[in-house]
Amino acid sequence: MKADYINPFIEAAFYVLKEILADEGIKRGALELRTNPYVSRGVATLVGLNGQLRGHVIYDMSKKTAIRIAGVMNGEEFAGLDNIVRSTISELANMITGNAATKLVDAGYVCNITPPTFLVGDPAEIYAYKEINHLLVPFTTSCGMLNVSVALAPNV
Amino acid sequence: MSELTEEQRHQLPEKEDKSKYTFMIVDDSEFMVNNLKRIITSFGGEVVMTATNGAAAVLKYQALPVKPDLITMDLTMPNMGGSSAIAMIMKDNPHQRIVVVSALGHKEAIQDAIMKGAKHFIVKPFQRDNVYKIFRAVLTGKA
Repeated sequence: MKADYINPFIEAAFYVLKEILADEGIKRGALELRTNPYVSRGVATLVGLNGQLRGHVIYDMSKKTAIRIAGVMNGEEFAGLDNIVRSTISELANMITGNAATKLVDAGYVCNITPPTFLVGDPAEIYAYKEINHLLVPFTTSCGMLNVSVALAPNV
Repeated sequence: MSELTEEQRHQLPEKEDKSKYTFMIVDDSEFMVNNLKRIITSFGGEVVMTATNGAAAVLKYQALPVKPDLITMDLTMPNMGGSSAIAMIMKDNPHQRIVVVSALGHKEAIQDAIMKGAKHFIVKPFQRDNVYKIFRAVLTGKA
């Protein structure tokens, strides 16, 4: 997968996470390649992309991290993965993907994004279309780890 | 210490008839609807209707006897996106004030929304200050 595709997601994730978590200590780790299936062990929010680039991006985190992040974003504490938590994490995925897609379009890759899909499973196996590999970018936040996994290919 | 100005207090002015500015929120995220509701209420506005997709927004809008002063419209929604919903609402009422609030902020999306009749465009995640400034400008006709 080209660096062109992944960099917008790295930049967008940094920007959005810093804004919504008011956290200056967001760090990212080394990129990892994941062959299919992508396995999530908690909460995986999936946003599709279509257009000149096609595929999806998965925002993967533990249930605990999802609940913590939702807590910060709503200004209240949650006990479990209720509908507000699901909706909040889905919106986080939407914001990062939207910001990344804006950069992709500005760079000449015309594409559109879908509304998010929220998956809960331990483990959950996710197969990208045409079994393209996922490129995983691990982020460390004050609420825990968040993996941004991108599976995109040109639409030919 | 001098009195805070209206701007500094982030309180929307009252309308001529002393009532609050009314809002309709359209977004498929329950979190975002709640978030915008909190913000609008803190500005002294009143949320009179919400919808979670474009098709529902158009139907609910048409059914309202008194139209909201401002509609916030997301773009990426199932069952009709914001772009089409804006076009349909503006066709119904060319004076309706609509502000897009979306995670997608590329030139084409903004141009499309403005051409369809939206008065302004806010990219998520947004700053409360910025939202206030834009709402105020659009509502008082200074956008």
